[in-house]
Amino acid sequence: MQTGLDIAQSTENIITSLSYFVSEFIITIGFLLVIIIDLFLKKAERLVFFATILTLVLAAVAYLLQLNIIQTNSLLLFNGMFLHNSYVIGFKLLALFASIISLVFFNQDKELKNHPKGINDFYTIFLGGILGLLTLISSANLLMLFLSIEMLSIASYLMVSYTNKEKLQAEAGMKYVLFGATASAIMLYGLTFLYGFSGTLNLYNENIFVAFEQINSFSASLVLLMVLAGIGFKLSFVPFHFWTPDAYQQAPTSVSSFLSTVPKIAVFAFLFRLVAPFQFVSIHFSTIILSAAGITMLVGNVMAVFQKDLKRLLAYSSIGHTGFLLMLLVLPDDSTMSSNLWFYLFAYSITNIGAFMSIAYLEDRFNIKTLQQLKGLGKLNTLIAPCLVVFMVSLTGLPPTVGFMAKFVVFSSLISETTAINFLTPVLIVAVLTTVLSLFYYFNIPLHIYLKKPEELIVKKKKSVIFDFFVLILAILVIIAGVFPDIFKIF
Amino acid sequence: MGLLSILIFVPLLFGLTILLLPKKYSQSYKYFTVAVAVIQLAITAYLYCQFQTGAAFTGVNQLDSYQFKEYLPWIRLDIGKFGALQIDYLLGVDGFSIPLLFLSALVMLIAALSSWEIKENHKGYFSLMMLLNTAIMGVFCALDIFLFYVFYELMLLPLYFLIGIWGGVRREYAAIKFFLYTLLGSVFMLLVIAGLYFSVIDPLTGNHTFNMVHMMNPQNYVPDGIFSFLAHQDILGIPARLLGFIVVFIAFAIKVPIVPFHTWLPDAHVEAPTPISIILAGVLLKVGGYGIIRIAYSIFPDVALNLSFYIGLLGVISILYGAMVALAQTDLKRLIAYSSVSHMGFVLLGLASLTSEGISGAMMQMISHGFLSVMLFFIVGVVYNRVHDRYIYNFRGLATHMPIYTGFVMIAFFASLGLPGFSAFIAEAFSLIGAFNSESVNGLIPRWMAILGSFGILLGAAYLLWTLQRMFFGQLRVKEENWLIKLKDLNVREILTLVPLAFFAILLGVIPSLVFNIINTSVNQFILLFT
Repeated sequence: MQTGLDIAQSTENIITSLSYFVSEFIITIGFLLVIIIDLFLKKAERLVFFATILTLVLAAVAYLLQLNIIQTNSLLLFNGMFLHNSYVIGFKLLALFASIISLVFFNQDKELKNHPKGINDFYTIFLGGILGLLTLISSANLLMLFLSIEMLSIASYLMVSYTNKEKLQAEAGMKYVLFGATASAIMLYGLTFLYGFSGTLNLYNENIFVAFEQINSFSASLVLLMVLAGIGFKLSFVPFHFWTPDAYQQAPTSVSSFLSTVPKIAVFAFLFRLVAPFQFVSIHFSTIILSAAGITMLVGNVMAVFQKDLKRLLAYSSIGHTGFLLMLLVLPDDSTMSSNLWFYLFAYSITNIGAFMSIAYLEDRFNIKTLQQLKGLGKLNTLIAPCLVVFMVSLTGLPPTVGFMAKFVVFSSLISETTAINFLTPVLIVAVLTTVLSLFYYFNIPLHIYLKKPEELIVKKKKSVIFDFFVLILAILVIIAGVFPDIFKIF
Repeated sequence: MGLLSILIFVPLLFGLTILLLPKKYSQSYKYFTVAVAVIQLAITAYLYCQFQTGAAFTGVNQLDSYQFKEYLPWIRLDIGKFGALQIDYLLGVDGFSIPLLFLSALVMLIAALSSWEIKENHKGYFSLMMLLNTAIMGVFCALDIFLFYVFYELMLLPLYFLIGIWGGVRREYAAIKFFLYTLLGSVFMLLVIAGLYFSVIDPLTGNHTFNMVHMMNPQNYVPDGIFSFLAHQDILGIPARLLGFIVVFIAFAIKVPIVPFHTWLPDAHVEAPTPISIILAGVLLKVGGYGIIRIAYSIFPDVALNLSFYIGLLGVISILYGAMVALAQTDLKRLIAYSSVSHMGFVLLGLASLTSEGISGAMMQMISHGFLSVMLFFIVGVVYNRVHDRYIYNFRGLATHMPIYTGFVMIAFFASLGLPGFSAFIAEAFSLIGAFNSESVNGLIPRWMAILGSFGILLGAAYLLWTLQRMFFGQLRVKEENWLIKLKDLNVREILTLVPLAFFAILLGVIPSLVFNIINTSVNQFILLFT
């Protein structure tokens, strides 16, 4: 479609595309608005918060409206820069939903709020990151992919180090930036190869991968690995995971919660669209993905067993879940893959944000940071303790929670492929074994809360109603979505 | 809404009520629990009386002949190219589930009555127990394998907390060990369930189905499904159906428990508080046996038939190993825990024979063991609550000091060791007859297994009589002086608890047809699966 494209046609394409780009415009406007308010008004924290949340809600509404009028087939916008179809919108809505909850979470995070620089700049960075996130989900061009990933990454670097004051936190932030920059560079290098071989970066151009038939499979796999490195860094699958535990532990809890969910949604939403072309590029693609999945599950879950710090524990758990999700990428059918990915990410996001929220709350109120300090919480009769147990049950994948349904959906979509894809059966067995292993560390939390001999807790602060409310809502959602998953599996 | 749904959800409702009630009513929670159990007992007794037998009510692999059926579409989950996951809320009972349902209701009542010993955190304890109750009833009623699995897993969570919070010294270890063991079995089973789903279609609608009754009929399998009877697919070089059976069998064998998967049981039993030990021994072990019959055997009959020898062998090993280890115990509760391993071995031996005597014996053994193990654990609880000690050699000559108690102990011990006139005699005799006849009827298991199995009864007599002699006969002597004051004889509540159990143990020993008549048609239908 690139050939013979004259200026008139190209302009017309851009003009028609504009109407599909409403949400991105809304976010851009919100981004500018937040900067302006912060510059000219003093003590505008509330106003900025409402402006930000309004921006996100409006963007989500705009997508919902587009969902109603969307045709069944996909559209390419801006001369092949973006893809537009119902799956893309589904993932974008999920990402926005998780972002809105994260935003409320940021607003409650004392570490961010009491920061001398104020929280308003943080919101600006956050909105910038969201814009990158949304364009990442719909990228149809590899250059666009790179731009979006960088936008998201730079925002994340800043968010992690925003409250930087100690040496350890600086180290974590630095690790994150250096790792990220290297991964991006490798990915960009891989993209140049792609361009060199095919002469285009447009993913939906038939020519792009045809060229690969002529080169040997080793170089093809190498290119593929390079591109995967950039993506793997964002998803933190092994061996690109080293930054994760440090960053999650040192960053403000709300930021860790955001990082462990929303970027994952975006990157998986994009990654699954690479599967079909990449399978064509290299016959080893499923093997590479499956080995990454298996190793990631093993490393994530085994390392989690040894963690004492709650946030580090959740960091390794999120690595484990990434491995689990990666298995889905070997499914031969696009729509199956995307709809099951969506559901698993939905389940994972609400559970994980809920877990992080509970931990932030505990840290705030009782100064609880490690497993040991959880002792005695059960005696206090707080609402948060049973909710935290519900989240742990869901992360393990036991009924009647949404985590179980998500796991079951993944298992059942893969089990029929075991004969077709070699190497899948052992990875499935790894998935089952690591699920059992995960019970061990997830249940360390209820174990310390309820089973250990209680110790006196120092209550630092009174309880926060907003936290209580959100955690309870998320816990109830986790159970309802576990018993009636069909209400929620909409994409 | 049918009676089975009421049976399942009444406890859940009461559990939520308990959660919402303010703390000052905490003394009333136990009466709630007892009330729920009484309601359930009434419902199951009614169902048991209304239960019909005969050619039209066989159950097993005939969906139409299940009774008190309930059906609601539950989950329709689109998973892409494989169509939608159709999960139904399908309940029903046949001859295998109805006696176990009654047993569960009775055991829950006993457990509620023995919960008087719980001193702290009533709200948590009783609401968890209600949740456990719901899950147990659900397991025995569910005919949709997914629904079954949900209830099956749902049992684990409350048990983990019930053992872990209200248990003994090593409760943390026991609770997590129990949880990990069971989960290891059941997560693999989840893969088999998913595989079965894509191999089986509903003959009426043509969609894939989780209905376990449809899974029992070979003609419902799609020809190229993983678990198809005809396709002979391999997984990792092992025939898929063989692997499926082994996975499911191990999942339930852990629950039964069968040697060598039994090591969680002594720990869990010893550390659990008395009511939870009662539920564990009385109901949960039966869930394992029921699962083997309903799922492992009924869905994979061809494999089960081929593996009969090994299953029988595992049964015999469990009988002898359990009994011999029990002989060496000095902790009364541990002794009884191992005697459970031994007694549940008879279930497996009877089942492996695939004769109608053997299977009836196995069913009878589950019910009889339900009553008797509950009685035994309650008896241990009586001593333990009074002096917080269970070491056998710390007690001697209790017969003169606690005569009523000793009376019940003797009933329980003699019934357990298989004295004629008690239910265990009928059960063990039938299992052994089945195992003995098997060689001439279908040639599945050799006679020496039955002979070795009967040594188990002998060993059972040895450890029970020896314990009776050590603790109850001879000169009165206990470890500390003040124990004599603490060791009061049974109070009214305790007598009221023990009487129905003793009554049923004798009743079924004298009139076993009360159970046999109910299960007979289903047992015969079950055997037809293997021909």
